[in-house]
Amino acid sequence: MDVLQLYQRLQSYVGWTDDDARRMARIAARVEACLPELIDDFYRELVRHPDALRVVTGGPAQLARLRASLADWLRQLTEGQYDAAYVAKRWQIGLRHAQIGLGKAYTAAAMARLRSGLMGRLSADLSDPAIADAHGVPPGEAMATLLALNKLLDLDLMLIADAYEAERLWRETEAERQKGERRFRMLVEAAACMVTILRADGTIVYFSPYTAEMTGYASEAVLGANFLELLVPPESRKSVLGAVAETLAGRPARACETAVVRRDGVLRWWVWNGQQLDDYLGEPAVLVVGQDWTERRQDQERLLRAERLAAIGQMIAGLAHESRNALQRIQSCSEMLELEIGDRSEPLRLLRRIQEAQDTLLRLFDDVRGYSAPIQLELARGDVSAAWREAWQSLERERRHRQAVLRERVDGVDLQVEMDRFRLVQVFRNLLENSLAACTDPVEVVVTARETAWGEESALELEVRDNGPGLTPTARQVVFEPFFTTKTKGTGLGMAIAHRIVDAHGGTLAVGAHEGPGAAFVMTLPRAVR
Amino acid sequence: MSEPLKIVVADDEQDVRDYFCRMLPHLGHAVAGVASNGRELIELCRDRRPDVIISDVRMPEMDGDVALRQICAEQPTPFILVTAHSKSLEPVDGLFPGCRWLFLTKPIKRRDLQRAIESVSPRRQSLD
Repeated sequence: MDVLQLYQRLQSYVGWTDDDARRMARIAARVEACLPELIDDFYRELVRHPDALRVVTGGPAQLARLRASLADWLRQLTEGQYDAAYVAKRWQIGLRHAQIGLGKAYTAAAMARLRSGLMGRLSADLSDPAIADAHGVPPGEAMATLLALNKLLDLDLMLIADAYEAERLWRETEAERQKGERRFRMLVEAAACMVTILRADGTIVYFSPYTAEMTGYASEAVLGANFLELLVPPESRKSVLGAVAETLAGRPARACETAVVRRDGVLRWWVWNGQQLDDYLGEPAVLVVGQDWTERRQDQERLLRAERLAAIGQMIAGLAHESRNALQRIQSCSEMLELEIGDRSEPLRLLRRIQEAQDTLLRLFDDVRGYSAPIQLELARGDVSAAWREAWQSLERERRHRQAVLRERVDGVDLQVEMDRFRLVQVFRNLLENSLAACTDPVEVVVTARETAWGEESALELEVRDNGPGLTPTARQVVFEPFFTTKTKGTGLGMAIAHRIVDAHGGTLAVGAHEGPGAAFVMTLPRAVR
Repeated sequence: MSEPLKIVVADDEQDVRDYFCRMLPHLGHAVAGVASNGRELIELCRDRRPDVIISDVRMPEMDGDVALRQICAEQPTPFILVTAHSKSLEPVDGLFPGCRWLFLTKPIKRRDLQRAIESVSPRRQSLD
């Protein structure tokens, strides 16, 4: 219910009438005449009460303003307009007194003093028929006029009481809200999970200390920044924004996996839930509670690959056994046939082709077996450049009659890592062989080394980039999948094996950034294999 | 070429048995007997006393390696085990006591066969 409605009900309760309004208007001049004396008396009394006086903190200047306000307040009583503006203004004055902490009893006492001052003065005036007549107060109306004033002042007291009540309720709600918020903060700030609150567009309005710790950004520094632009790689932003929108629409996001880039550039994976907040600091928002999922995600991926490999391995073992028996029969028959053919060249040529096809089949089996068998590393500390140089050297035959160079950009980077050199040569060989196959002359492959971080430890990052046509979007997705190949000859296992070898070193092999020419692969190797 | 060796072969595949019968004489050796399982191989070896045995591992009735263990116990003879398993077993000392032997993985080619025979051949042993 609004204040005007309340006021009108109270008017009816106390029996206020339009006649009362007219009665008030008639005595306007008399009220005006007694204002200075009334106000003097009001403040003379006020200064005698420290509990009431303590709310006046602005000295003589404030007292002067307060006197003027009191005069206005008293004048309004007789202006005859008891409308919404009148009610609102007087309610606000009541609220102001509540807000500055003036005890409610003092407002009643002050009102009583004003009332008795006004009534005393007016009853004396109106009892003089000449004065009453001069103001148009008909004989016998003096009492009714005084009662009207009494009702009006009572109504004011009721407005003040209502404002005090409103203020009390607000304070209680606010205290409750602050208590809730303190609890929320305590809980959130003690939890070992990332808690942030976002607006619909991703603007950060809360960033817990743990989130700050995990991302490298200070909480105060990111407030008002956009979560997506700050932390989410461009390709994942749309899905995060979608999950935020869904949450705001009442369908809370659950177990969302999102890539997050820390301040130091390291990519981590979060899994998070979203919760709709109807009102956070006055607007709807989404509470995001997340966990760093990176290690578990990597474990999951490893496990998945291992399971798939085990299944492939089992299948291949069975297949290879049976196939080798069949291949033996082909081999046996071919060699017998060769003896029959003697030196007839055309049949011999055909026989060689059968032999070649058989060799290809055999190599395929060996590759698949090599891919699916567990990798046992023989580790030693060494300079990793030796591995890529050896790989380049081993491709001498493939480079013959080609214009191909291998450049190194290592600028003083420490190239020592713990590695299985033979295996890393295999990795570089696969990468370089692919570059030679994909690029047209002149071929230029650049190996760039950089220091990087692997969790808390130092690691070596190696980028191998060629100047060929680069990878298609599809190839980028599936290049490490077994049996993916762009070559007309090849088992499509080279990159899958390379990935496994780097993985066995505790590192990662990934497709490099789009920027720049050609295809790029980025290998991250921890300095020591865990 | 060295002196012809008396060789006994065992394989459950007809094509492979035919191959040995055709190829071994071509390499200068004599096929002293042909078996299609481990039991036959034992009988043949008792009867023919070969210089070298070439046997498949997996065969019906009795596997080649089982038969060869018994043969080695009775009369140590050099042999070649042919297996379809891509990963060949490492020759383990004491598995076939007193025998010179090795594994070949299928599919075997003529030159692999030739080298293997030379390497287990008793003639070679006497030259050591």
